Amino acid sequence: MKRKFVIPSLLAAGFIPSGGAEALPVAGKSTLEPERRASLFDVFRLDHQYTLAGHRSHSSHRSHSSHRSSSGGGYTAPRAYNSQPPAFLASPPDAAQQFQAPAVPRYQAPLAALPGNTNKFREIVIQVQTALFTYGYFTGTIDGVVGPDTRTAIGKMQSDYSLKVTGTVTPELLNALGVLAR
Amino acid sequence: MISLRFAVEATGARHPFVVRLNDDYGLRSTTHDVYLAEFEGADAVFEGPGGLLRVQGLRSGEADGDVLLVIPDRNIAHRLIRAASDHNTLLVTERCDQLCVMCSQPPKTRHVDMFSLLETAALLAPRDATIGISGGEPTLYKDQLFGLLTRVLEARPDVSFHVLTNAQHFVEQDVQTLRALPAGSVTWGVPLYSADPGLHDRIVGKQGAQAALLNNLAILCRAGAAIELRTVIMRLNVARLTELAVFLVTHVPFVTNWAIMQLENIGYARKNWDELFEDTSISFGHVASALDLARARGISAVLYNFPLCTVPEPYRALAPSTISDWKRRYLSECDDCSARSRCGGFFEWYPDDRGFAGVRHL
Amino acid sequence: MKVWPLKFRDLVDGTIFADDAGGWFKSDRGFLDRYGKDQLAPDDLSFLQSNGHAYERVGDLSHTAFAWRWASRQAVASPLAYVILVPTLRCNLSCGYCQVSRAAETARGFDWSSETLKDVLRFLDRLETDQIKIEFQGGEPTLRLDLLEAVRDFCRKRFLRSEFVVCTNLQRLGAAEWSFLEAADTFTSTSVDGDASTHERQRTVSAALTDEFFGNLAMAAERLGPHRMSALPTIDPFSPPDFMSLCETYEQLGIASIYLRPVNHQGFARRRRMRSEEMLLWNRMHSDFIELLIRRNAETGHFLEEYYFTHALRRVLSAGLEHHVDIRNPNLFATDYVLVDFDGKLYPTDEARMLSRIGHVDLSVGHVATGIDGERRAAMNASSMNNFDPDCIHCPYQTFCGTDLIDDVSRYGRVDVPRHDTWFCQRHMALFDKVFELVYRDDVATRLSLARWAGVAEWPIGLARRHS
Repeated sequence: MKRKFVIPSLLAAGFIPSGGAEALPVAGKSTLEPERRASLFDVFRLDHQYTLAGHRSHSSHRSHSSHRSSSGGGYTAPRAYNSQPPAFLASPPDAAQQFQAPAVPRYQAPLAALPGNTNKFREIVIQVQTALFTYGYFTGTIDGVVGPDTRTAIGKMQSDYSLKVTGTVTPELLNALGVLAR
Repeated sequence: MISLRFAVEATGARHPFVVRLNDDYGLRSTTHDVYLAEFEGADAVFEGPGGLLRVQGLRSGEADGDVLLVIPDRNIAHRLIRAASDHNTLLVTERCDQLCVMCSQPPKTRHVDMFSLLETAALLAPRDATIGISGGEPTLYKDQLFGLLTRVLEARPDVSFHVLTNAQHFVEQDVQTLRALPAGSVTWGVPLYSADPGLHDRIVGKQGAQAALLNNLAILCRAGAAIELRTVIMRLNVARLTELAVFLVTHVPFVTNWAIMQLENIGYARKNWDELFEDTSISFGHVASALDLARARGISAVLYNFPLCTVPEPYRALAPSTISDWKRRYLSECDDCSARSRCGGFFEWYPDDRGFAGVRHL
Repeated sequence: MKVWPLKFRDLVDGTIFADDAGGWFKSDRGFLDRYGKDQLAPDDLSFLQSNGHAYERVGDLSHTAFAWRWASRQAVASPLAYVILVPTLRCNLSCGYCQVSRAAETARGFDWSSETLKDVLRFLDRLETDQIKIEFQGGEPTLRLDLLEAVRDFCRKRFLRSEFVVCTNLQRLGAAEWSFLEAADTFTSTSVDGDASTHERQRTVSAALTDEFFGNLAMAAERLGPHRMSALPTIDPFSPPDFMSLCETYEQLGIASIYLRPVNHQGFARRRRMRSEEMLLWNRMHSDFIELLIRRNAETGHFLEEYYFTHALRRVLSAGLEHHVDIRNPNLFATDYVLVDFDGKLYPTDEARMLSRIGHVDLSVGHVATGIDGERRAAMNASSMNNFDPDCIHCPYQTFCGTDLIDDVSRYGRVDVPRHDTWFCQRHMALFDKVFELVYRDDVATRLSLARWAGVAEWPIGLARRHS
């Protein structure tokens, strides 16, 4: 059944035929890629508050919390300083207790695993907690999280076994407990 | 006061380097990570791929995830990034082309290029960190600065920057570079002290500074940059603050926010305190009408570094706690103050005898 | 120096000038004369420059700021994230001017079928958003609580954030209805036309139903709190409520924002004859109500606002208030919000479905099973901006104003009528005249209210600029 309308069509109501093409300025503000941001209109309509919210928080809050003023003085200039890109880089810990000049050019090898590799560490902690549990130092939940109870247990174990007492996970502790950090 | 420097020993190292401190072995593992190995007396000893690093007076848990710039031949480490803080700022140069009457950190002529080290530090920042970039005037080294921002944001899209700049050095060609940065990831903190060119130029100690600034604000706007406009109020400019508000709503409506800031008693401001300090606890009128005018016309105007008790009640919600944790203190009047937890307090170097007359507990 | 085009309009005591980017000031006929004859004096030019109406060179700060302000005055539709659902057309009231062409409570064939419910959920599932706002309308949506539950359960799982608004007459609420409304993500919206006698005259008809309604209303205010309940009065300018008691009713409910909604002459209401003086009556009544609020606010120290006036004021003061679909430009249809009717048809607005329902014109834009009809939507949206309207381009209020095609079709059968003849234009002309009358009024009570309505502590004296 086709309904009858007083005004038979959009055209009869004075709407302009569009040719079927839709040309709506739809925002999608936060997702605009730089190359798509060609028009000034798009640039002007960037909603900084919105895009900032994509990261962590609302921009106005952010600018409050990250308020900048003077940074408290310059950095002490080194007596000896070459302008080589410095980096603190690998050599096996027991090979030489020497800080070495960088061997790898920067930016070709961006720092891996930033800012932390939580899952791998969690596995290590689970192994540490399990071992401490077995040795009778730890009675808490084995959850892969280094909490106060775990720290106390580690400290006690380190002390009893004449390890360096830190209350933290150290290579020495892992060795003593037979936990592989790889 | 939170320490931003440590005395350290890095045996065998000669050149400055950047490390990230870890309490636990294996949590973070880049070539820049060092791990707590033992406590020796008051010192913590960290061990990493490059050797041992002894840090004086550090206890477990205090600095986990912090990023240090170690200057071995001076036995000093600068705590560039504190993992537990929202107030991390990297100082890229101490040179500046302006000489503001209240400069909190008077410029020096010498420049030591540490961009590369600071870039490494930024890459090591905790997740979602906002990193401040300050000076001196960072854009005196615009190429290095843009390079740092571009590369860090590429590797760390979770990080964002807040760059303090006098905006004297942007040019039309920078629009493309700025637009290529991820939208909203860099906020430019730009000071403007008066709508009157002569007064602004006098405050910043540079002829033609305001004209250049206004031209470059247009460049930043066309680049889609997020801008925080900053106005430190002093006896010099406070009476013309409403005029500035009128100017902003008309000619600089595109700022993300406008910070009206109280003076920090350090650097030149300490020297010129009596001529500069405007006690807004006694007369808040100019600030109030500037806030109302800007806010009514759609500019998010806020107050930085205003202790809550110095602000009339209707405006307190606009005064967030802004004084960085490491240079904040509270006075004896703050002891039983109900607003203390919301209040940014006072600068460490706030002069009790020459400060606000209206400090009181709320 | 180049001066941007200015548009003007005479008020009682001066002339309002405005540009295309939302800048404005008050001056006089003398200035207009100099402007028209291109004989601007140096202090004219320096005023125009300082107020953002002129620039020296392309790309300078004044030029860039003007372009930015212009851009920020254009509404940009966000992705579809607001869906109005009409699960049933049936209602347990029969208001004289019902705007939704209701069906009787016992009627059959006016509810979603189980197939329609499935289609609705599939439609929602395909939206490219992780945040949704659902508004349940009717009829009386609580008659089909089962459908409301089904939609709400689905949305809570599908979307990161979801919010629900139930537009209900609060007439008959059992334990199940209350428990639905009391959820933290659910908001209640109702109609309160004024004091009990007005509400009874316009809606509930019998004293028993009136008592029932006000009983439920009080309970809703108590159980939901003012932040999860909103209400608005529908106003017939031919028989307005007592506005003082309307204010008291709302204040007692803890609602400080009152949106005077004009009776919309469609649906059952269309049977009433349109009378020419209606427009004048409405505008005078609305203006009087604003004056009443100003006096009352100053006397009581408790601030009430008329929602739509406040919105108009804020649009005059600054850009960025493009969220109100009754007044924005362009007013893009079926883009960021859409309505699903009881039979699954999609409409751009509530009014559009009523016009279609009464056989006036088919304004549907697709079906929930098949999605939005892009071609029909494009046809509507091509006419949905005032930027090039031959009348609007001469109006100083153009930037603050919007369009309402649906209302135009409803009243005049066409969208391309001379703007000045339309209810929409005449209503908004009067509204913005009132805004400019007040922002230039030198009076303590007025400033008290204006400050509150603008969201600031004190009304800034230098805000509304003059030039002579």
